Amino acid sequence: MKHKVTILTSKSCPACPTAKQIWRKIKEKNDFDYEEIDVMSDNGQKIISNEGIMSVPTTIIDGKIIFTGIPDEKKAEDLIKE
Amino acid sequence: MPIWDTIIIGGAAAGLSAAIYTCRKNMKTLVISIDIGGQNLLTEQEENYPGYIELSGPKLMQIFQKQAINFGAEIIFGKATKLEKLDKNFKITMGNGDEYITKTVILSFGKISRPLNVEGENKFMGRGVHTCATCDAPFTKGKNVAVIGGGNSAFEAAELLTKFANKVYLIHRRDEFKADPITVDKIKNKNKVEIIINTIIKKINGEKNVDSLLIENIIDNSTKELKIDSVFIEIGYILDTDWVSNLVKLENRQIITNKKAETITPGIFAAGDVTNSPYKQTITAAAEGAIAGLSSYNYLRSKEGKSTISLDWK
Ligand SMILES: Cc1cc2nc3c(=O)[nH]c(=O)nc-3n(C[C@H](O)[C@H](O)[C@H](O)COP(=O)(O)OP(=O)(O)OC[C@H]3O[C@@H](n4cnc5c(N)ncnc54)[C@H](O)[C@@H]3O)c2cc1C
Repeated sequence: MKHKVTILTSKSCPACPTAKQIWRKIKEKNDFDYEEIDVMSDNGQKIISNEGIMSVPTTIIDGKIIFTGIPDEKKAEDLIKE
Repeated sequence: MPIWDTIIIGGAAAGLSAAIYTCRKNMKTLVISIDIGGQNLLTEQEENYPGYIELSGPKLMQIFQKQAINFGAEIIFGKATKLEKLDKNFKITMGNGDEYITKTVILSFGKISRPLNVEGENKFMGRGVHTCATCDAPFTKGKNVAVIGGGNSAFEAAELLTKFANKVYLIHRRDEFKADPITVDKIKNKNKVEIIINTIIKKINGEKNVDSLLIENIIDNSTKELKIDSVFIEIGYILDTDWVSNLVKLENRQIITNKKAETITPGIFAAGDVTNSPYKQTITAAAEGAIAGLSSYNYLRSKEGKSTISLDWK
């Protein structure tokens, strides 16, 4: 099954560029659907209220909140390879 | 398993500068870091870093990273948790269990946000416990929140939160504040804000998310449950150096180094805010990183019976 990774970020969040950098690096080596969503966008607002997200960066994998904060690269890549 | 010439722990001002120097000497260099930029990610304007009139901390750190990568540095994102000396080399173990072997080590892992160390803090991290007001303030619309701390960062967080939250409690364990009086006055006069002094947090309660704090007045020891949806911890920074104390000497949790960035263990160097250097600035961290980089190169040369160098440009 092809995994789907959604990372929620905001412009004012200092940790978000690193979180995005990690996912982009993993994406270069692995095949999965990937999207970056700003929580201030309409879609972002919808996701945070549906999922009860209170913090950025947050990574959702296959519909489940998996990381709040900066992910560990290896743990993140291992999940994608499963 | 590859053997690295150097592994640099911490990818911010000190560590990325060290990487520029080790890579320019063709040392096989790995930077292990939780994030890129460290404390500089919180600096809006880096006004005292020479060479730039106006530049934000995050932008400056992006340039450091680009420079290190251009010279050949590799980066792995994660937390290093164990450092061991082997026969000839060093072994670094990550929180996720991965291991790396290296001939030299540069410790440049700076400072981390000070935790409260109370029950519920880790459990609810990102679900009502927050350490970054600029990140998470927009999630507090119409909610009741608490800020813990008495310094400028606590008051600045409280001010930002008044733009979103319904009610902001600022809780401080003393009756005096470290924050500038002007900043304190600005917050004191806001209707939404209630300042609670001489009070500590005993526990953070909740089910899925945070729903209250158990607080204790340290004068009369009375306790009370304060209903809130989010708590922002703004109590400064600490050095988390216990995990390397088997191989370096510590003083007030800082790693003791000499002018060559050497620690008591040959082959282990340290640079930046994590050391006992008297000044904690981006430029001093970068300079110490450069010294650590060159010293690690000289260490490897000496081991091979070669003469040491003092320049990077000849
Ligand atoms: C709000 C604020 C404003 C500041 N403003 C200025 C300013 O205007 N000018 C100035 O010169 N200085 C300023 N400073 C100080 C400056 O930011 C620091 O001196 C500088 O960041 C120190 O750099 P460093 O590389 O030693 O450590 P840090 O910046 O603390 O970086 C440490 C790095 O190590 C990583 N790390 C930590 N533990 C581990 C681990 N176990 N495993 C892997 N990685 C780890 C972190 O993720 C981080 O990337 C400011 C500091 C703050 C907090």
